[in-house]
Amino acid sequence: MNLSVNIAGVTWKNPVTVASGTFASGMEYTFFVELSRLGAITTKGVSHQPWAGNAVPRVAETYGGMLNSIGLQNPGVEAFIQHDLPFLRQQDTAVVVNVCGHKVEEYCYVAYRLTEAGGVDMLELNVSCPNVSEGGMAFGTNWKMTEKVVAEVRKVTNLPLIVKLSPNVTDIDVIAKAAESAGADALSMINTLLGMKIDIHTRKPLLGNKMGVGGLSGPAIRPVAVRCVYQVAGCVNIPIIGMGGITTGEDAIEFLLAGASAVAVGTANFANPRATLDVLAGIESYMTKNGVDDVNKLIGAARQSHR
Amino acid sequence: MKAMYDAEILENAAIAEDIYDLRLRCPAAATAVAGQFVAVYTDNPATLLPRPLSICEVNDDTLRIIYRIAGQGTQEISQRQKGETLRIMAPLGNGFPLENARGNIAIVGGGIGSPPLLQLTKSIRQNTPDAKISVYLGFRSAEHVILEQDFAKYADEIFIATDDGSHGAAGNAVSLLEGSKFDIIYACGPHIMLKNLAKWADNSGTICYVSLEERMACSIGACLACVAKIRQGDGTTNKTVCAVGPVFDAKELVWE
Ligand SMILES: Cc1cc2nc3c(=O)[nH]c(=O)nc-3n(C[C@H](O)[C@H](O)[C@H](O)COP(=O)(O)OP(=O)(O)OC[C@H]3O[C@@H](n4cnc5c(N)ncnc54)[C@H](O)[C@@H]3O)c2cc1C
Ligand SMILES: Cc1cc2nc3c(=O)[nH]c(=O)nc-3n(C[C@H](O)[C@H](O)[C@H](O)COP(=O)(O)O)c2cc1C
Ligand code: FES
Repeated sequence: MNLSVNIAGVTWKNPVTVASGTFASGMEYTFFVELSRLGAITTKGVSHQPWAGNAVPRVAETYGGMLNSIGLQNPGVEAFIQHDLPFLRQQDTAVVVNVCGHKVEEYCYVAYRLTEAGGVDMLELNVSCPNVSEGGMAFGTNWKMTEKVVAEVRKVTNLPLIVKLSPNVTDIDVIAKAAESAGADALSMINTLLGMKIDIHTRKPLLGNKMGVGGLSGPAIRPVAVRCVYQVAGCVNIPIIGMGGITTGEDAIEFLLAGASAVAVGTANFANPRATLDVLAGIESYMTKNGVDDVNKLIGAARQSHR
Repeated sequence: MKAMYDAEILENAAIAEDIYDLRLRCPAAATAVAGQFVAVYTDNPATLLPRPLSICEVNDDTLRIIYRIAGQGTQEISQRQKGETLRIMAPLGNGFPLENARGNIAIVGGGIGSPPLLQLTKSIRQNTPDAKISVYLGFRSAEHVILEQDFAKYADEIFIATDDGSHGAAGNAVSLLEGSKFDIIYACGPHIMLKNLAKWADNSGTICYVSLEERMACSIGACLACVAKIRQGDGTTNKTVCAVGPVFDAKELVWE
């Protein structure tokens, strides 16, 4: 049975990675998961300078999911290169580093430093961050800003670039096409959906950040994510890494059938630290039951049989 | 070493209003220390995230946990029957440092923050038989008082306060300390109590360790949900309550 997939020229031994920010750089999960069994490790977002993140509470539970407003707390790219990268280089799996920034130049600097440092297989640009040069509007909600940040980062790195799309847009196709035309080698989707929870006892938003808003993730968002993947797969020619609520092998298969070439497991890691390996086992057992000898045969199959 | 377990429920019974005493048979008991906690998983889509609950006592191969029904997750845990298993991750976090546990020791608990201090009291009594251990516990009222007999087994003296004065002195646990001097203080309880105690300890130059609560997702230091603000040089840094804590030196914390 072939489980390996090719994402923008990088071979993953299987189509399962983790969603950025839910798995740190993997070290904490070594108690539960043999990291070499993953197709790739995707790290927490890395910025130019250290980011402190938001005020607590940073998480709120919701039905079938959760809201988070971590605020991309991270120690900055130099600390990442010093502390995390040596560990990641030792793992027998592809390394995807997620990059965040408040300005185009910050994305470029981080991409450049990571490329120079070596041992990184792919970069994933989180374009859901607010662009401080444009009044805090998220890069990924405007096709021009998306195009600009991708094109500029493209100039400073030869690593394959994955652009991670936000679902908080009117037309995700437009953003996806802008990313592709600016030089993205792959897309990942979806980032979290903006949401809010109010504590009825204190009569205030539960999350501690100024706006009281957070990103919704987990099983609750899966149908939205599947729809986004299906829709975008129809209008770009680059591979897609699908994510959003994936908890089981069946969930992952849905994303592959919708057109994703690989999947990422995020919030499910919190409910079950071995969720990644359970998803992988579920994919294998689906393939066995259905006589599928190559996982690549599933990619986009729902699109081909539709209509 | 932390791991996932299907722990057998040996007992899960109410001991006070909305407060349960849970005993689990679990191999994590072999290494668990005072101040560490477990994460309890409920397998319900409405309560996806694990519930952090402190280890109250470690006895041979069992972990004792005392919890209050605070919402849907703890409500569901309270419905589990003896003989069933509970999926947990344990032991988590770092316990109370015991190196300086000698001389005059104050152990201060507020309400449902008291349970983890029981194993602490027991461990100090075992390690340092000649220490003088004074336990101060605060509760809302007489019906909410828990673990008084348990603490009495290991403490030299025990003082109880209730908000309404229905059992022991009227007031809170911190008010019971007035006029005393200690070499070291250990505490767990509501944020406001810990904040007042930290100030009291700072004024009297006493070492003070506190165990904090914060909302968690991963419970192993990966997601950065559960941070506490720590002093670092001229500034501050955020450290995880689940992996670096839950016990911190009160002096290092920024009290907001
Ligand atoms: C390290 C640690 C040790 C703890 N030890 C104990 C203990 O020994 N006994 C005990 O009764 N309680 C303890 N708590 C508090 C306990 O975790 C919460 O009361 C419990 O999670 C509430 O869950 P719920 O579903 O009943 O309530 P809900 O309010 O429905 O919970 C909703 C969400 O908020 C989280 N949450 C709510 N209150 C708290 C809180 N105070 N702290 C952290 N997360 C919270 C829940 O985990 C859940 O994710 C501890 C908390 C921490 C962080
Ligand atoms: C706690 C938490 C932290 C996250 N941090 C990041 C991040 O640093 N960068 C990023 O691109 N996405 C981040 N995400 C979004 C996830 O990578 C993922 O896109 C989203 O959660 C949907 O997948 P899921 O439902 O499987 O979690 C985070 C999500 C969560 C829950
Ligand atoms: S709960 Fe994830 S870091 Fe503490």
